Amino acid sequence: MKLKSLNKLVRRDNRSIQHKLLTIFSIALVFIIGVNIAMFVNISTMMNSLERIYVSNLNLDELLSSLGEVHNSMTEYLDTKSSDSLDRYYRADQTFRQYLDMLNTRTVDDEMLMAEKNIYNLSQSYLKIVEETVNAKRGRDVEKYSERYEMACSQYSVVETFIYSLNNALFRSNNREYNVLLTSLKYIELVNIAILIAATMLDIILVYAFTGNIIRPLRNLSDAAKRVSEGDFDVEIEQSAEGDEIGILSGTFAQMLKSIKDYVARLSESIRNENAMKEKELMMESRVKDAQLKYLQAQINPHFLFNTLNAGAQLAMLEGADKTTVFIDNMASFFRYNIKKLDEDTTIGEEFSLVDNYIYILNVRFAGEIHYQKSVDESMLGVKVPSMILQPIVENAVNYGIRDIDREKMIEVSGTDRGDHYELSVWDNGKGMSAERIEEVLSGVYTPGKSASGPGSNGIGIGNVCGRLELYFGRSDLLDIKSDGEDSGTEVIICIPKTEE
Amino acid sequence: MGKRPTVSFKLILAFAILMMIVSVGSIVAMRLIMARIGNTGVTQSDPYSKHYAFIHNGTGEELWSNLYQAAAAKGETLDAYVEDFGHDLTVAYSAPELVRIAVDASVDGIIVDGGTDEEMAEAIAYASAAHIPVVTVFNDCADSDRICFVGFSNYNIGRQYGAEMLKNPPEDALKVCVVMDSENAGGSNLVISGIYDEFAENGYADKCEIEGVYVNNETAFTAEEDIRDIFLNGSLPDVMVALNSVYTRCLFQAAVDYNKTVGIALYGFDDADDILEAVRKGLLEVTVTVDASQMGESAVEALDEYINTGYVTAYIAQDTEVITAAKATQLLADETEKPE
Repeated sequence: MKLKSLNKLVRRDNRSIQHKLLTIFSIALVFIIGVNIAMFVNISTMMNSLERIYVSNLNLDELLSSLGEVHNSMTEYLDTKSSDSLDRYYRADQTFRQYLDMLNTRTVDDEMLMAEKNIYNLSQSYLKIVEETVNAKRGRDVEKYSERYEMACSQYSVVETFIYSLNNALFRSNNREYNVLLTSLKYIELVNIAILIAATMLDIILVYAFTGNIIRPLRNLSDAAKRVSEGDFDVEIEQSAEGDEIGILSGTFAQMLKSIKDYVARLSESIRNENAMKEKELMMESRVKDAQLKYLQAQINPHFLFNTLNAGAQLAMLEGADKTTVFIDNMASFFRYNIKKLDEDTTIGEEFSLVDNYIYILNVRFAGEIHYQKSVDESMLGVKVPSMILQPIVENAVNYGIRDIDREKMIEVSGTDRGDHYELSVWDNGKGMSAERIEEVLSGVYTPGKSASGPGSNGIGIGNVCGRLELYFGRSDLLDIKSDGEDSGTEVIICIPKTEE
Repeated sequence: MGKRPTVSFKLILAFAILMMIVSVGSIVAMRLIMARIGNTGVTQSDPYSKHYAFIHNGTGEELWSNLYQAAAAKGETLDAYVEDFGHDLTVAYSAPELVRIAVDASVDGIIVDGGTDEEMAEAIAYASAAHIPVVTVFNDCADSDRICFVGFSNYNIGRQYGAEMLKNPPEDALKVCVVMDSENAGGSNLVISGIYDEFAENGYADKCEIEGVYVNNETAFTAEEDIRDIFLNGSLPDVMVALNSVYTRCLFQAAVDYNKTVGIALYGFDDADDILEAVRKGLLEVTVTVDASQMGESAVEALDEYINTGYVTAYIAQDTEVITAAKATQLLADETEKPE
């Protein structure tokens, strides 16, 4: 049970670092204290033994002193026969007997103890003689107490010799013990130092190993964070089995890293999807345009139309209808231009020719009620411009400007070299435009070309012209509309910047 | 990122066990040292029922040491503690004095190296009056109240010395000098008688001139001086006989010092290693020894028998042995081969 408890103490996962450190240092402290207690016990035992070594000698000294007191008090009594000396003798006798009672009286296999036994018996013999001496003195038997006194002195000398001898033997023995103790003390000192050093080293190893277990995950986490900061999201975070703060931090970091990786993956997928969508959208748009074109082409086969118109013109010529011939030629030119120049650059001169064709056709249709004037600088006829930028403006001027007016219908187109740019102008004397409508048309909110597309319209409005000019020249302020209001006519001005080409 | 290692439970357990072993081990070691020191003055052995005093004046002599060891060992088997009485006292009491002191110390029996002097007999009488039996050993105190003597016959030893001397029959009169102990003159005289009788029985009575030379051993160091005086004063005898180990050592050392190893035959006593070595080297012709172990055991057995039964034989004879150079060599070799 104890082993399991200790194991749990060491391995329990859900303890905090503070708790673990406290446990580690407590264990280390307990070991050190235990070792110190052991050393203290040893030294204490040693000191106690040192104190006890010469106790036996001291006891024998006291025994000898007591013996001397007996003998002296007896001698004094024999000299003086005083009550004090007698009293002193009795007390000394009692004291001496008390000391004798501490001696060994058994027969055992030990020289020291046997010496004590001899001292005990010799002393008893001596005390008996002394007692006889004192009694003889009290009985005033001079001869007897003199004889007994001589015997007592002799016996006293023997007892004294035996005590001295035992004291000497004890002293030699005690000296041996003392030397052994001293040697042991040095040995214990060395052992204690060795134990202390060993305990300290083991303690350090223990603490190092334990704290290493705590620090190592932190270090690993730090390395992982550094790699993540360098963009390596494939770092594997070791999942700690511990439930301490580091374990929680490792888990959280791993979760965060996973979240980041998921987010990056989702973001990449989203970008990929968006690109695919755009690509798809462009393709769709392209295909719609292509379809529209093919639809238009299907509607009017240009070659068939030209051949037809040419056949019509030849027929009109054979029949001598000159006007019809001219009309059909203009129509043929107009449609050929439309088909041929739609996705190509053209020149200002060709644009003006197209306007000529267009106005001619309209005048045939509307019995020549449109008064058309054209003035263009010869020098700018060869300037390259996007195709179909002038005819749609003229078409708008016809459809929204002059169609429904009752007065004379006038359209003037001009091309002027303004020095730093060329200016193309389409003016009509039609219904004019309000400032709001002009603003709407220029901002693209209102597109008259589209809403009004129908028979006779090529479907290209001002917005389209404006957009293509912007794409072609890289500027957005190339088209302007001027009008003084209702029935004041409208002038559309196209600015063609001069380029190095 | 590498796998995060954990401090295993085994490491912690090993650390804890190591620390506990080291700590407990140091305490146990300390306790053992303390116990060892503490036990020097206290014994846990069972008490004996009898206390015998072993008294002699041969302190330091190997013969007496062996004798006491054997007696003490035998005493253990008979539930008796045999004390080398008075050997460690600060005052050098005589053997008779120690007998009296032992009586006052209420011992249960006394084994003593006897002697012919009167003081010893009185001391034995003092013990006898206190109902403490006394056994004499090695030297007897014949005219005393001792209950038993355990020893050998000095006369027989004299015969053994004589037999050894006659292995090379003398052509001229052989001057023999026996170094006699002033305290045990009686025993020494018996030796002289034995030597003479051996010569006489072998037809060499007229070729034996024996004299005894007393050396004083009552005061310290005088015996050695007296023996050297023999070498320094007058003509030396052909043969010199020493009757204990101390006199034997003094004899061959003096012979070496005065360069008298040739022309004088020395006969010693005891089988101490240095004496055996002297025999092996030819400094001594022979040496005579007794079985000290047997003597010590016999003394304790005699005492014990008397205490238990009230009777014991008055004389227990011990065998003696003559050790020649060949025997000495063998004994020394045996001694060397003995495990430590």
